Amino acid sequence: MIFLELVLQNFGPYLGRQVINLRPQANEDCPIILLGGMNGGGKTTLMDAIRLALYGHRAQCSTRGNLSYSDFLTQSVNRYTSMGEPTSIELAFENILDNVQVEFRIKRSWTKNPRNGKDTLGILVDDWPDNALAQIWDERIEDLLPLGISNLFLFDGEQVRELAEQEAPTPIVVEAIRSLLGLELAERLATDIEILVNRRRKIIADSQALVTLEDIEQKLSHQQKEYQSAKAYLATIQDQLTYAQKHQQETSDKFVLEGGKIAAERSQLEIQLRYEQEAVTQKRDVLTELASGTLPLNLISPLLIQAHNQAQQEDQQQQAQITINILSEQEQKFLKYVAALKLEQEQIEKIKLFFYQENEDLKQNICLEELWLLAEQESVYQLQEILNNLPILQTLAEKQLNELKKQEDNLTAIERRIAVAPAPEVYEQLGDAVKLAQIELANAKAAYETARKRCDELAIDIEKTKKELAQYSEENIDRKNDEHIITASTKVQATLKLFREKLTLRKLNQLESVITECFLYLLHKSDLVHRVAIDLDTFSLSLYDFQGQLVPKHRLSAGEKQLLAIALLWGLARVSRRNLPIAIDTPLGRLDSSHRNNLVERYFPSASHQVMLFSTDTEIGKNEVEQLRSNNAIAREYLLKYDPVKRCTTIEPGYFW
Amino acid sequence: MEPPLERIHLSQTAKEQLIKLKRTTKIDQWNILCRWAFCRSLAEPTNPSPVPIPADSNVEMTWRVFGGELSDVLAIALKQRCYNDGLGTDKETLATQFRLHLHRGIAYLAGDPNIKKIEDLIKLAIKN
Repeated sequence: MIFLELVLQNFGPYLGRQVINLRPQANEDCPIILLGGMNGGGKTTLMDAIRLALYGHRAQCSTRGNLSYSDFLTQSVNRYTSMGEPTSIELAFENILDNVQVEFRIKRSWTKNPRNGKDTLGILVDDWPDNALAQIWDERIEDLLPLGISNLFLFDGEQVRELAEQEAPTPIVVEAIRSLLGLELAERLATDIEILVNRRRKIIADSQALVTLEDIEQKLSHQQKEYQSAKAYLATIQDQLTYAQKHQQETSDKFVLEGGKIAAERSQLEIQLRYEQEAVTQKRDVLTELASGTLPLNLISPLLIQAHNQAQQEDQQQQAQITINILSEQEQKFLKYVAALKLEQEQIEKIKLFFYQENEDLKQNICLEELWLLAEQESVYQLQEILNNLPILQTLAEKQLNELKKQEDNLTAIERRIAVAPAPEVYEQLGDAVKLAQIELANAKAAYETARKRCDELAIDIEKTKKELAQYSEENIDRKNDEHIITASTKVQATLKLFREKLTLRKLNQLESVITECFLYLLHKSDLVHRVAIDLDTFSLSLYDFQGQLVPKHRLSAGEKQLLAIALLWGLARVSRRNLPIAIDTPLGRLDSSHRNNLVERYFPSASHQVMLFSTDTEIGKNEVEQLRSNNAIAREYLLKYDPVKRCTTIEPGYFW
Repeated sequence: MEPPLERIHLSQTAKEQLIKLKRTTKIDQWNILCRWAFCRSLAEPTNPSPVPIPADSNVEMTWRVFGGELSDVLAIALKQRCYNDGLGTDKETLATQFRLHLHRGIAYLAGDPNIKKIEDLIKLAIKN
């Protein structure tokens, strides 16, 4: 890490924009940036500016005290700043980001009575604004230059003496030392492992209620079996459904085809039947008519013929009687006439005999019988007529009978056909069959739907169980892992503890030797201290002389203490191998010329790759500057000139001499 | 022609038999059925048994109603039959014989198992 540029604008005593180029000379081993200034000239302000730029509200600035951040910002604004002009500080530095050297530029700006009590932070990475980085800058800077160790790199030469004075360093310093030495890494690892173990323990405790693998597998196999049976059932149901559909189609076809035929046939036959029945009835009426006529007389036709003959005979007899009567009358008249004629008696007798014989013949002929029938002429005529008509009537009756028989046969045939023809029940049966088939179809459909749903449900269940199984296996593996981690971590912790102890020991040993070396290197009283020891836990320093006796710290002079502190910082920097810039305020303080010489000659040029010195003209005086210049250690020189009239400091290149 | 009797009274048995005949032949006039019965009996060569016939039913009709247009012919037939049977043709004999023949005929017709319809009755008249 190298600071490249510091820009101040209306900050503290600096009015307007002042740019300090902090770049060490490229490719040359001259790390020192020398900034000279009288007391109150703004040297410490520069140090504060660097701190403020890096850490913002967390920065421990010399003039802040107990001020709140916004008050501090307000106080830092140059009092002659014109209205509307912002106060800002910019710090540019170079660092390695993702294996590439990049230039960061931190820009903080604010005005008097800053809004929200905060400054506006802008981070530019290679001149590109990076808002995301600005959001997390406080975290990011901890990776680059932790606040904890910043005090060990940006320090006041006089105040640093405290480090050596204290019986034990403050916890902040201890922490910084730990982090510098890389000890905290191991500790953090241990804590992290503890956290990890706790988390795993919690997970395991949560997952203890898990069902066993066998249960899930049994459930799965059971569900699969059920699914199979449900599927088979579904297949049969489907068959039934197709059958039912076919059956329904067939029955309805049959109904349409046969039902209509039956209806047509029947109605026709019934019409015929009615017609025939009517005809038969009509015939019967005719027969009744006949029966009410002369037909029964046909039964007694012989009797009637007899009667007729008798009647005719009687008629003849009557006529004969009349004839005889007329004849006898005529006879008498004729006899009288003959007597009158006076014919011979003999002749008359002969005539009389003739008449007598004739009469006798006639009487014999008509064979006189008693008349008993005594039928009137009219009745005889009627009888005659009836007798004449009877054969015709008989024929007519026969004909009618035949016709009736034929019609009855027809009727029977029709009735038989009706009987043979499908009855209305058949029609109803067909209709019923259609209804039944429809109901069956609906039932089959419903059953199919249910079975299908059941199948789907089972499939989903199986899927779920499979997932459960997979999850279970995963969880099981996880759990095994967790258990392994827990068991392993104990071992790791133990190892880590050992590692930590050994590391600490080794690092501290290293540190001890480096500090001793640096201290002795800087000290002109070379017999004072033989060895510097660092306590393993408190990191407090203790000194031992050549006899191995402890040298109490209060026996050291203030200058020696300062040197010891610088030696500590130098040692830390060297051991940690962190390439961080070093800024030292009042670097030489109250040191004597010998120690000053040592520092100027030995420490400053090799303290780091970039060393910023904020010095008054009495500290790094003419001799020291020339010494440094002659060693080619100075990269840049600046003079902070305070103008008492304008009450502001301007930065100019060059030094007092 | 003088009727053999003025009023014809039927026995209860005859009435019931006639009712049965009415049902089978569907001829609903007493006189027509009686005419057939009378002819049926006359057609039998044997004489009817001279049994006493009570007139105990409410069915009665005049000779004119009984015979209708055939009244005279029927009377002649009865007279001829009585003459043939040698019973004499006096009015009383005729009346008795008529009653006997009528009731015998009714019994015959009613008792004939072949008569089930009008045509069976007609067939009787055609047979000879």
